[in-house]
Amino acid sequence: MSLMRFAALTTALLLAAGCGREDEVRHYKAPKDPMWRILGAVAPTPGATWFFKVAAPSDRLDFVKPEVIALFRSLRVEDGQLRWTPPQGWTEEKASPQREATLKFGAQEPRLELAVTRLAGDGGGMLANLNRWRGQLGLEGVGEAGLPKKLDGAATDVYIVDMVGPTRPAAGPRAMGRPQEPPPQAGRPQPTLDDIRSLFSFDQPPGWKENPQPSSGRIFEFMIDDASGSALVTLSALQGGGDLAGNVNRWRTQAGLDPMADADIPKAAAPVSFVGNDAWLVEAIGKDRGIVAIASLNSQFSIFLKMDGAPAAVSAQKTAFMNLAQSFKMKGRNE
Amino acid sequence: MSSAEKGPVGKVLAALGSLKLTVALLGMSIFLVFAGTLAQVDKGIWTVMEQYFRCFVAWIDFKIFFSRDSHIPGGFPFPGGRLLGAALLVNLLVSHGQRIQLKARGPRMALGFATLAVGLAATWSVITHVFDADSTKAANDPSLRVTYQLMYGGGAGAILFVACWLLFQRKAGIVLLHTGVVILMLSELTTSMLAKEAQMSIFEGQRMNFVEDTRSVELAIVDASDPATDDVYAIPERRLRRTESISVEGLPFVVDTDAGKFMKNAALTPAQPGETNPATQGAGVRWLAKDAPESSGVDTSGGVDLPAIYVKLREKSGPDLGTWLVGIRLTLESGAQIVRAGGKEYKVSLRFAREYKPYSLYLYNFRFERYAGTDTPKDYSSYVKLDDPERGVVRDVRIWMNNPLRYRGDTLYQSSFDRSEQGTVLQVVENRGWMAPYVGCMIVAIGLLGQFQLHLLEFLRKRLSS
Repeated sequence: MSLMRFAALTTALLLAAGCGREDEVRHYKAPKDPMWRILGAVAPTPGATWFFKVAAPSDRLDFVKPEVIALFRSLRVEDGQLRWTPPQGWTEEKASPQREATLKFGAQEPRLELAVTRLAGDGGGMLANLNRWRGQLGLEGVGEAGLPKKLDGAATDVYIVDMVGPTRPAAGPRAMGRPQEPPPQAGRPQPTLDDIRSLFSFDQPPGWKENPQPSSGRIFEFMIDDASGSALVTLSALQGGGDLAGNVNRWRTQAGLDPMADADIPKAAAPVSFVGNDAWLVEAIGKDRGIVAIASLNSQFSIFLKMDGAPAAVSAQKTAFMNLAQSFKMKGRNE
Repeated sequence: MSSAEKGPVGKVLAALGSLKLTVALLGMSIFLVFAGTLAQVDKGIWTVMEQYFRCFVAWIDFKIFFSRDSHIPGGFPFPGGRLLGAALLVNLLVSHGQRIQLKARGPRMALGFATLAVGLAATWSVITHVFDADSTKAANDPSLRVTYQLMYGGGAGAILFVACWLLFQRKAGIVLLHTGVVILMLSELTTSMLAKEAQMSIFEGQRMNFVEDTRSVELAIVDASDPATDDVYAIPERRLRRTESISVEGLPFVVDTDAGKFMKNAALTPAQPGETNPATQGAGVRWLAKDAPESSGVDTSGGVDLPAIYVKLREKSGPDLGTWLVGIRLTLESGAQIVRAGGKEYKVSLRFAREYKPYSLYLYNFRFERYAGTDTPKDYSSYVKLDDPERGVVRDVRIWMNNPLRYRGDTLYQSSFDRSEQGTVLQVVENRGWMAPYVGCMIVAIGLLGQFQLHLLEFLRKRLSS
């Protein structure tokens, strides 16, 4: 019987140990959370804007910042092209479809990557890109007062961006090991673009020409070129995709319009239905550029149908664009 | 002695130790496991664990036994895992108390108890893993790790068998194997009550010193005004699930929770014009959270529930601060929301329940190797630097599949990784009694083998003497 007593006592002690503390509000001092950092530069040149960006845990970038700044200081325009001199130990990989170049650096493996991209014109505008990067870091957008400062000592105009935020940029909003992340043993092949394209059906408006090999990140591309001008219609899908205010203000900025206050955003967006989901229709027609977009926003997976081009062409093709939107069907959603 | 001759206590003990009760309890246990398995079609594995097994009374819905299209209401109460386990334990101990008797007397009994003391001490030492407190120092070949653990358990079991033989003679094996069963049952009880399981997610180049339990959340209110450290107030999920006003000393505002506003798993959709939105402040103004089905136990994608809740904040001596939506997805995507009260800024977020460790891990590199020419995984490895300032430990460690790092009572397993393959997810388990199942199994095995040997020897002795 002594064994029974021992067991009963052990059980009672365990029960007592497990009760109560789970309900307490804990108050403690903690070290600062690990942060993410984007160190970048924007270099406007005649006819194009260049973007340089490296994103990494903040601590890691602290050590290499002087080298990165040295690279930015080396930027110069020669023969109409932007050139740079990589610091010692850096390696450069040439263009890929998304990048002009990739610069690898840092003593520790895997090495850090600094991406170089080139966009035509103003690339959507300094402020819009700044706020896009801020959004990737989980930071709120800023106005004109928050525009990056010009770097001293460079041979051309270079604007430095150095921001620290709580969320990881570049790889989408999803953190690892978290929502719906496949376990390691899954090892499933990723769907190809053709797999994704086969999910959709639509009625192509007359006169529009489909690009069978759309740019990276896009599922469909249609080119419009008529008397009123040219425009490009794209369908893309993104994990995350941001909120309505961020998208509206990015498109407005790209079209050369002023950003809107959050409270006014609902006035700029009309509710519509798109591939079986609630969506927003946003119109931003500026002086030199017009954008009409339908955004089905979901924190997990957002779909965008966007027409971007000459203001007259965008206005003239809006009815065809809406007809295309209504005809879009996606397997398992509205089909 | 017949049951009619027993007193009331004797009758109760006879009933508690009866074999019929054993069979009935085992039958009910099998049914509970069956019902718990069916329930995982709709519920997450940990929800089922809490509602069916780690409780004294389980509520079993009728609908789990039928097609989910049937919509059959109602259910019935049933003994939960803890009640059945406790009853089986009592049944086992009482039946042994009634049927097993000491056979030793005098010096043999003294020697038996002395050996028993040594055996129990060895068992305790093995269970409290004094032999392997820090696997980074262990010289054992990792491939033989489990073999060594079983050997330790087997050694302790062998000493206990000698003690049982001295004390109980012919029934030594029976006593020992049931002792192993008791150890297994108690180890599950202690694991369910005391063990902690969480994840540590680290990207290359990042140092991490906390773990997050993805099965529960907390409302974190952080005063980050000190440049060196954060002042954190963490309200646990159990409080958020109730309807109450949570006033915390040191915070200038009160958090009002509503049990009906807690969503175990929430889907976020953009708030549509004209749609009623409970949130009046913060990111929730643009998003609407709706209840989503819980990630089920049969979901093979490893999905995690993403809770959300609407909370009302009001200054203790001032204005209403509005209704805020806080949720895991919002936190993951855009970090904490800023609440201004009492002349200060507070970062408010719903996050997975967090616990800080006295050591940190710095991830040098995560490596995912595949068999050549295929996508078939071959190996996952995390190369980390372990840094423990308290103990002055700085050491490079490789953690890879089935070869965890054991340090300061924690076991850190390679669990998952970021799809960019630039980050790792380690499962961090704090379970001081992790050796108990190994020891229990070896004691059961030695008890069985010993009992067979005793019967064989007795048979041979009788045969030889005849």
